[in-house]
Amino acid sequence: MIPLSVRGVGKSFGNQAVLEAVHLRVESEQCVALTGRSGSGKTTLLNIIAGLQGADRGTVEIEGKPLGTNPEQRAAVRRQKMGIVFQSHNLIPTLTVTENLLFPLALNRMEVRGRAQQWLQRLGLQHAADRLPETLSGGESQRVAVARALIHEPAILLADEPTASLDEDNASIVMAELLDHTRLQGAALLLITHSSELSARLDGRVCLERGRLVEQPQSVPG
Amino acid sequence: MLTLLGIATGVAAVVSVELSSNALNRSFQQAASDLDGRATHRIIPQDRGITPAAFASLRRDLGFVPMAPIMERQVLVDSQIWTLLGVDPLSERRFSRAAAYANRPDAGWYSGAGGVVLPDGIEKEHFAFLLGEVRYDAPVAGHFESASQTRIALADLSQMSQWTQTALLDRIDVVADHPEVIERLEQWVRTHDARLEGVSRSGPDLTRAFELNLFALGMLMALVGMLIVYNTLQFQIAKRQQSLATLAAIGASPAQLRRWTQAEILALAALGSAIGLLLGRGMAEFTIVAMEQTVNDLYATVEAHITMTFRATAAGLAVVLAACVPAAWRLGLRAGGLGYQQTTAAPVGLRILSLSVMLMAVGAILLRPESLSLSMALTGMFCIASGYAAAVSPLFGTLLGRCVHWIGVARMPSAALAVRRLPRTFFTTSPAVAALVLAMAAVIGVGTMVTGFKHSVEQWLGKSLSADYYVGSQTVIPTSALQRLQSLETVSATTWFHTDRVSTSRGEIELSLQELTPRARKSVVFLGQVDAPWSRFDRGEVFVSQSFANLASIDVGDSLDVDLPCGRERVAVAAVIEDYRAGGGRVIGSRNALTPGCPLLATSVGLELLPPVDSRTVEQLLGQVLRDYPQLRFTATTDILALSLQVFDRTFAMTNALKWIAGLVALIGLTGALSAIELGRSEELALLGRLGLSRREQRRILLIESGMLGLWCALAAIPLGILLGWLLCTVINPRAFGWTIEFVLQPLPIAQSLAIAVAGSLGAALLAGRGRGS
Repeated sequence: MIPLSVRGVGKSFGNQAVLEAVHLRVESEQCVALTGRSGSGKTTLLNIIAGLQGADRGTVEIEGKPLGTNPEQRAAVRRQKMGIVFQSHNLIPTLTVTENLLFPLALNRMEVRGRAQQWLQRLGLQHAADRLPETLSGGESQRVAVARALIHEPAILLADEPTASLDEDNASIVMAELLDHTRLQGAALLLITHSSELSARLDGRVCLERGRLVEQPQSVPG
Repeated sequence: MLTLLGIATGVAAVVSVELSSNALNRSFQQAASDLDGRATHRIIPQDRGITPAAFASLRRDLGFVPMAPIMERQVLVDSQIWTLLGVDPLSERRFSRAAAYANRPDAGWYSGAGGVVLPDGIEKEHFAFLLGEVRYDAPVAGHFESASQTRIALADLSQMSQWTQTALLDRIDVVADHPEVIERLEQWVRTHDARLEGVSRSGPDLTRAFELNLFALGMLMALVGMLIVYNTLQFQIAKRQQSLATLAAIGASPAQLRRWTQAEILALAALGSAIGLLLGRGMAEFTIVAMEQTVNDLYATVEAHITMTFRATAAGLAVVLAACVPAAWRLGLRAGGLGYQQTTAAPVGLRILSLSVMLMAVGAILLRPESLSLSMALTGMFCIASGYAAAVSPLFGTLLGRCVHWIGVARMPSAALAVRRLPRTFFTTSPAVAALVLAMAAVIGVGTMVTGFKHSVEQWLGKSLSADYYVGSQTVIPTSALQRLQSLETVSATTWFHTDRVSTSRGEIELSLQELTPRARKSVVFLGQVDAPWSRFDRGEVFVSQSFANLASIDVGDSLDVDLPCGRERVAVAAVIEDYRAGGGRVIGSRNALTPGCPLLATSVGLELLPPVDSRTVEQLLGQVLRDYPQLRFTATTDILALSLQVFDRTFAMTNALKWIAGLVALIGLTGALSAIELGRSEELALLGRLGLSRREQRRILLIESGMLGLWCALAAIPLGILLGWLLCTVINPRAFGWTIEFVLQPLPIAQSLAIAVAGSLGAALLAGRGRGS
């Protein structure tokens, strides 16, 4: 079953068409880079895939099922099937690191015992278990965000420039963890990035230009 | 928009109370004017009425002084007692009372048709009434305005003379505002077997108590309004932080930034104030509905109008100014590059707590029993209230901050998220929280005070009205009438009262000379330790009411010079008694002991009846006995009690309306604060959306958070509300009126405040979070 399939998605804001008949498929264990100029519609496409925004045309299918239009249903799909990492503001400020990790599990009513600790160990963040996000560094915050996006074993991981605000060292640590864990869990990753170096490390690359995917050397067209 | 709403709400709170209060005073004056016209004095005959010749001589003597002859009778209309007033339309023209009735186009009551004018809403073509034993049927010539269908009918004086078959007047209303005129009137009454009474403009004490309540509520509202405005501006400051940094980055100097930001605050304040003045006027219109009912029910016909006053405008603007100055100063500091400390910082909480403790300590000192000033007591009460309210946020914020981690995310993620935010929300909305706590405490405090007052009055009336029926007159009860009443078989005993306002060495008071039956003696409630009060009473010592004892600083054993009807005498105080009746207090003495040889007639008598008491039979009997004395009225004790409590409830109807307005205003302030918080946490809520929390779940988190905030505020308000109620009952009222109100803690005001706070907070959250997730 294909984790993510986008068919003919179009979106306009007023008279301006941002997306026009976008087709995209991302398989399990596949990491695809979504590139394009600023304002080309990358984040809009990601939001539509995540169900945070509705499309004017076309469908988004998650594991073969249409995402639908009901906001409650879309939220449920997002909760169960997706993990999302953004550039910043990824952690809930009032919850500790452990609680941030547990939150998706709690929302999905999944067994939580030990899982947060395992992830903290994997990330080497045991010392920060009871700390609030405001006390973490940028790199630590993003690593916790990656862990939280993956902890409930989603089928799809969506990332919007997750390393844009990090220095080179931290960026490479975060990316390594993101890619390793995505592949380890067999998830499909769609990652927005401006970095061609980073794109080259992924399985495929699609580019949004004037609302269309114009370059897709390694991804499978829909 | 939120800033404007917040400022406008704060201003509106103050303006509405001020305008309603002002309209109330004008309405009371208007009501008094409708009954008494512009009369400052009344000439009341001692026994028989005033003859037309005597009235003519008075008019000759004081030709330029406005005066109006009045005849007044009780008549029976369909088994109901009505008051029939005979007035002279021409004389009435010099009294505003006449203007209220006679200038109505349909009020053709002096057209010579022999008709009567009835209150609005009483649709009759003929007014059939029983005067003594004679039935009359008068055409209805017109109507006067009355919301409550007062049982008063007006007739022309000449027509009234025909019906009563007498030309004697029951009183003459006079406008005498010059000492020389009053002196001449006093001379005149001495030679015409009459007495001169001043017309009270202050209204009954119940009304004064009500006005004190309004004043206290108004002060609280000013505080609530100021906090709401400050809270709003605080969010404006937080919102401007980023843009200030940007402006500084592109080269704006600290002085420029300070000027721009302060100008912005001033502009917002000016616009918000203008909206607030209009909003306040609208809110005052709402409270007037309750007030008109009160005034109309208590007095006569009156229509209250809201008029924008300088005082209300000034009060509203003062509140904005008081909140704007510190806000502009803070913003100026930030703009000037001195930095901004988050309100969540512990030192800020500690500073506020220290200030709160200081305020409460000052309040406690001002409320010390030895400090007697009412204004000191009120200031003390407000210091305690504001200190307490200010302490709620830092205290709860800190305490909750230590406890909220007990609620696990794993089991209840939404609830945990909501609760985790509470400490921060307490800090960021601290002025709004203080406003809500104050408003809720006012609901409890004023509710408790009103309940306690009603309970005390009810208890006192129940005990003090010992007779079964009371017969009274605006003048005096003729001896023959008294003898006929005493001779009735059904009457077992009578109590005798002669009440008048007299001068004493401690000011003017109401003196009541009495002859009391054993049953009536049992109804007197003594306060404090008394030693053989009745034997001392029978020896010529007097009882003083608690209000007089407190206000005149007089106690058992002290003596008092009193102008008794037959000369000035020095009397000793035998006891202090419970009494909620007269303004400024009351002195009660034995008629036999104090005025043994003085010819004195009763002004009222109480009739104790032999059981079983059949009210219908008794009233028929009394009607027959009193038919020759139309100026006398009889009332059943149960009716007096019921009417008194009805008057009480209606008098305090506006207090209740204002209580709700206080809650509403505080909740609008809270909505503004919550909305501002929502705007500030849009990134966090967007994150929750990304994590898969639906719009509904986000709203639920917001609702839990706001509901908890409201609940905590209401819980915090309970002790303060109880304290305010207790202070109003035992400190403020004794200092204002001299009497103590029994402090009765009632669950209803507490439940009301809890319900208002929680439901209101949930409503505020719904308003603040509308559109969330879109």
